[in-house]
Amino acid sequence: MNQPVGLQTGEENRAPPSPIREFWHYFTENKGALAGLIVFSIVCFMAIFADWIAPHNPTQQYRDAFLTPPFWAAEGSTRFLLGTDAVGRDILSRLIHGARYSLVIGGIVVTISLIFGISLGLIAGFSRGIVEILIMRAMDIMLALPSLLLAVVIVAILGPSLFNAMLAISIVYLPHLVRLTRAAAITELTKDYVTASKVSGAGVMRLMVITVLPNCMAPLIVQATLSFSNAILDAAALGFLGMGAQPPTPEWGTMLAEAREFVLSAWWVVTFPGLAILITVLALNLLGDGLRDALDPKLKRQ
Amino acid sequence: MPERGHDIVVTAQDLTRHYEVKQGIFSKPKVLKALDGANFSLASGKTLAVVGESGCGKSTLARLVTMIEPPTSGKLWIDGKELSAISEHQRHALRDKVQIIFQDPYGSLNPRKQVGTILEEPLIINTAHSAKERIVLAQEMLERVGLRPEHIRRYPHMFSGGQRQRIAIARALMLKPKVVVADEPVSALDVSIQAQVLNLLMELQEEFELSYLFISHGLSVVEHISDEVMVMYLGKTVEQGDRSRIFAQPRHPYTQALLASTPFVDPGRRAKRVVLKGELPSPIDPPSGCVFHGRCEHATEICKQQIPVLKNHGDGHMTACHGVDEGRL
Amino acid sequence: MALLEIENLSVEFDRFRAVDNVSISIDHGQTLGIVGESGSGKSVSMLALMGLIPYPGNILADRLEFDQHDLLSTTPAKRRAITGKDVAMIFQEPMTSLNPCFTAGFQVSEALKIHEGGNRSQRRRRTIELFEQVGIPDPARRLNAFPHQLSGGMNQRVIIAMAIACRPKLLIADEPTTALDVTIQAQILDLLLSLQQETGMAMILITHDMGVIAETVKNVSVMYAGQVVEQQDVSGLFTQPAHPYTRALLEALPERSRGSRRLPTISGVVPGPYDRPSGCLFNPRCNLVRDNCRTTAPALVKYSESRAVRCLHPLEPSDA
Repeated sequence: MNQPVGLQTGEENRAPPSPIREFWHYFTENKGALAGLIVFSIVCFMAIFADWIAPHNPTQQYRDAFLTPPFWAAEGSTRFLLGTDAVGRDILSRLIHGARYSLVIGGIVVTISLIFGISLGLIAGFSRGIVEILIMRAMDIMLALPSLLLAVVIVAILGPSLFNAMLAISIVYLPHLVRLTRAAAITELTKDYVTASKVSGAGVMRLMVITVLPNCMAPLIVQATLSFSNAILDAAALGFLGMGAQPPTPEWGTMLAEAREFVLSAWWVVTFPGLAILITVLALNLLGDGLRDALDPKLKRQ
Repeated sequence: MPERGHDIVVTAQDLTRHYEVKQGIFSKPKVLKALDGANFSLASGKTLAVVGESGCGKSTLARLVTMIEPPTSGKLWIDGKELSAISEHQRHALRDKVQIIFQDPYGSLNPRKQVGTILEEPLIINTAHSAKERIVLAQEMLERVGLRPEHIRRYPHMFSGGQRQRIAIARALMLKPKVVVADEPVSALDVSIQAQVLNLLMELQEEFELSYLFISHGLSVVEHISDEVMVMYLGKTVEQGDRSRIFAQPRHPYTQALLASTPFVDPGRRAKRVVLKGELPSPIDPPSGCVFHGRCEHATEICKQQIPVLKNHGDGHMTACHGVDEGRL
Repeated sequence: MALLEIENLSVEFDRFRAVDNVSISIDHGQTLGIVGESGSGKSVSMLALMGLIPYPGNILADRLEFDQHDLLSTTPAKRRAITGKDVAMIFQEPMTSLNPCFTAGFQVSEALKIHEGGNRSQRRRRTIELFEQVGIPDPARRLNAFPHQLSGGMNQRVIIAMAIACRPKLLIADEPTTALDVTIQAQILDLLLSLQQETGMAMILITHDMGVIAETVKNVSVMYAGQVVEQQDVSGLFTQPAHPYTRALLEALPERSRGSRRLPTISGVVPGPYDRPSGCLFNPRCNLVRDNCRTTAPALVKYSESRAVRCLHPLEPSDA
């Protein structure tokens, strides 16, 4: 009665690895992504255990040690491994605590912009017609304004604080995500498996969230990691303008902004926060690329 | 024509689907007649083949019969219920009577879902089975189509084209439909796999008393599997009737050209072949009169002016052609 | 002298042999069909000839000669110069084979510019000539059409025009009609045949459609899992196939079902990279398998100039 699909040997017979193992296998093949993951894990570790790792209190000012260089330089000491800033605060401790702020900023910005961006993008892609036009033109208007200016305006309206800065940045990132999601949704909607789900009776919500969305994730993941890193930079810019994190918050970007005047005289005050941002952003981007490649089933076979 | 003793599962009467194509802000939109007046009755356990090339309206017909789109005009009865006369809710309930299989085995399964999830989806949406029951049903259906039950945990990209098509067939059967619309189900498969899938389709048809609306441009497959044939060109039905009669004595020039164009598996028969000249006219600007007259060797004045009507020339073999009506062909 | 001589061509991807010791030869003006299912290596072997194999692929051959030029010992650049002009290849998907950003006329005249030269108006005239030769109606107007404005059949004609623009000695057509409607397929096949006869070029037609083979070519090579399993002239192949795979393939065709509802099928699947059987590659699926088939890999044995089989127990004429 049954047609035996027959004498298959080899690959088909071995039980396929569980999705997690398979994902890990592809992910670790990409050495850059692995390096990114390790570095990012270190940053997370620092953020979580900052209170125990940091040698000093990040806001404590040591009046006797303004602008001390790092320990390997002439006047440095091992008391302040990376030196101190203009008001005598230990840079290493501030960097370690600053990791918390960066992760929180990145995380909240990405979360807010993903939730609203994906929702709007899906609605636009599915509804076509007037709703789509309204959403996309609103996004176009937002894109037409310089993003930093828009963020400054939003913060000026809401009041200067770190949370408002994050909200402003999330709003500014919305159009990119909406466009990406809408484009991916429109492409997927032409495919047969969506029609098959429709014929099975799937309603719009199920089609949007369960059927189509998982297939749009690849560009969204990359955009999310880019947004994470850009958020850290934009929060720094806002902090520089006095509209983001307020001193004495040890946020990397604010540290960078405060240290502008010391570029030539006390290079360590500028360099270390800058390096921290650079390394974290690079690690995140590599991680994001690796995630996208590993999660995409189409890239898996020959 | 329906035979006595068999239930009719699908009936179509003058089924039509038009699309409006915008021609810019200042011009009136033009009408694209994707499907223009299809009539047929499909009995349970039988296969109606819809034959034609791109632009003939067969995909549109598939979308109308699976209720993805409503017809612009005409009536469609599924399982005895006329679609425009029933409520939205009742139409929804009819979903489990008609299911579909697609041509491209690589695009018709959601790449991000496990096979089990794909098979269970129709059950989740339409029935009240528990999770355990659904898994068992999915595994049973997988075995029925010749795959192994443990395959429910795998993803589509781990399977070959023929195996994916089997999964697609399994999905179509989860709700125990009465009609399966098969849109070129074997066209993308190798010959030996095609044979396996065709055999499977025919076995399942016997076991479940399924009706197939079998859309294909592969005439050899159609001759093998169908009971009745409907030949379409640019949205219109040009010839319709019993399979053996149409293949033995095609009357419409387009049907004859189709048969003649199909490569024949016999090197000895190579010499004579009627090659149809020209290309398909644009469906937005169809020719006047008979849509085929531009490419027809036997076209006369009346063919350019009057649209021919599908007429019964005895024993249910219907043709829409002036030449046949007049006895010229 | 043969136009193309390929002896024991193998293409490997990371220890997987996609093409395994394939030998093909074709004379001037001859037509050869290569038929096989997916995974048979038919396309890869021709891509190897054209130097189109992507990165991890490794090409080995005993002999690879085109028109008396040895392609193995020359630099890739020289190889391209030889094959680029005298060998043309057309592919399956007409809608994606042309660059969507440029008009049809531009693309054909590009091909002319590289190989034949001439100023713009000369190339334009030659393009119109080519369009007429391939049967494109109203050629002057079509010069300015973009690929998406033309139908599949028209696109394929444009591609054929590009291919014959440089008067190649050999045309390789890889499933040229599979994506087209049946009536257009007939037109394109007719066109290819008439061009082949007009210009005297040789043609290799790769396809999985036995009907196309029956109607178009003179000699056939049947490939399975990267190897050539049978070579014959076309009428012999259909009436007296020598290899069990060829016969099973013919029997699985719906046209040959002789009225019975169930089609004979070939059980099992084509071996993939991880499950190559020992001995004859077809033995797990062969219904005439014998003990030595599982242990000894058969070699391709030539019975005559045009007939060869790779089988330890080939079918006798009376078995067919």
